[in-house]
Amino acid sequence: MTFIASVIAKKGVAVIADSLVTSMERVIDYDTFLKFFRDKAKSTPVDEIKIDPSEVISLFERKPSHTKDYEEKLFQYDKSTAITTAGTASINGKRIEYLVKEIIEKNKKDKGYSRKKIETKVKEFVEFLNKQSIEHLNKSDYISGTTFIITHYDKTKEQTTIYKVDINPCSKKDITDDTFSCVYSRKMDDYYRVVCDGQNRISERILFGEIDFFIDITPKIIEKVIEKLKIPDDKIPVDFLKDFMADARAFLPSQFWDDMKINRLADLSLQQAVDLASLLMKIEINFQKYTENIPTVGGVIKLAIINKDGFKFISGNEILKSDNLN
Amino acid sequence: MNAQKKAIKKLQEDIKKKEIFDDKISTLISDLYQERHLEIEREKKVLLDRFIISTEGKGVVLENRL
Repeated sequence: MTFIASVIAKKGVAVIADSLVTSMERVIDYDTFLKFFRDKAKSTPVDEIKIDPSEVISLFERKPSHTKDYEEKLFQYDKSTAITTAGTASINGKRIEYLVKEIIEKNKKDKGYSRKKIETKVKEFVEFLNKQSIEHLNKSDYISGTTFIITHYDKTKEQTTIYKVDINPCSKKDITDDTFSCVYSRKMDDYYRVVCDGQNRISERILFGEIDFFIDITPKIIEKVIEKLKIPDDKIPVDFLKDFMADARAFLPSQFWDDMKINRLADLSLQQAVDLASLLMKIEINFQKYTENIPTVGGVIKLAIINKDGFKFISGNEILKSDNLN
Repeated sequence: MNAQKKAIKKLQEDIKKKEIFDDKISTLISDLYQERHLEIEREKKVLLDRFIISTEGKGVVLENRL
């Protein structure tokens, strides 16, 4: 896992990323496995237990197995654009660092690149990633989910634009559909003064307040109610859950919105944006010390800003005197 | 009359602001819901595809040899 964030200021933006890489494994706990068969045996009146493959899949839990340092996750893409990444370490046999460098080199050779709008640059980045993902799926049977945050500051308009580009988890089977694309991008609404990803659960809880919990738990409760009331699938409107969630503004009490810190963020100075990005990183790293979980955020913390003068590293990009000599 | 017009204008602006805020909140909730739940569903689908491919669609039987 990882933690990446972009924090928008009035006249610039702060971008932060850690350097740890966590390998994830899917595991079944033996007691869970036994309980599954015990429950199945009880609910099966005949001698043969039939198992749906999706039930087997649901037994596996995704858990971090070990952590390595060091991986580059924050890149200067061009003079006023940064890219941060969270998710898989490599695609199509290339480490993410080299993939990003490959497209940066390609852009350098493009004489018209500097005149391109950020939308065009993002579109080209998405096309490049999609090509790499399809090549990956031709060699391997699946691709894991990965997110890129593209952060751009326009000095003329004094405006920051952030895009999230996601490689969705896909299998070889998906690419047999010609219309299918693994890679999606979306421009983040200017409402998002902070955009983060990776192991960002504490940050999201702070930024989104009770809404964070609402989003997590509501679909599970609705699914359980549907199951308990034995409502047939054909009686549930298409996109019922999605529409129900989108309509939440109409029925949730006002304290839900008051509790959302993201609503309360003022126009930050660039220093405040740097401080907030560092604080969110620090909370994610330090809180791990008090849990039994394997630390998945940390290592070298790279922090950069983009303002009227362009992209500049603030920390984490230089070699320091070793602590071993003290 | 002027004061009344001003009050109406202010009210209309407030309603407009509230509508914009409501839209943004709805988008935010949909985005977060999409990000968290639909991606998990996508991941499950990939696992299932791989599982079915690996068994070549054959039935699996647990056989006790003891």
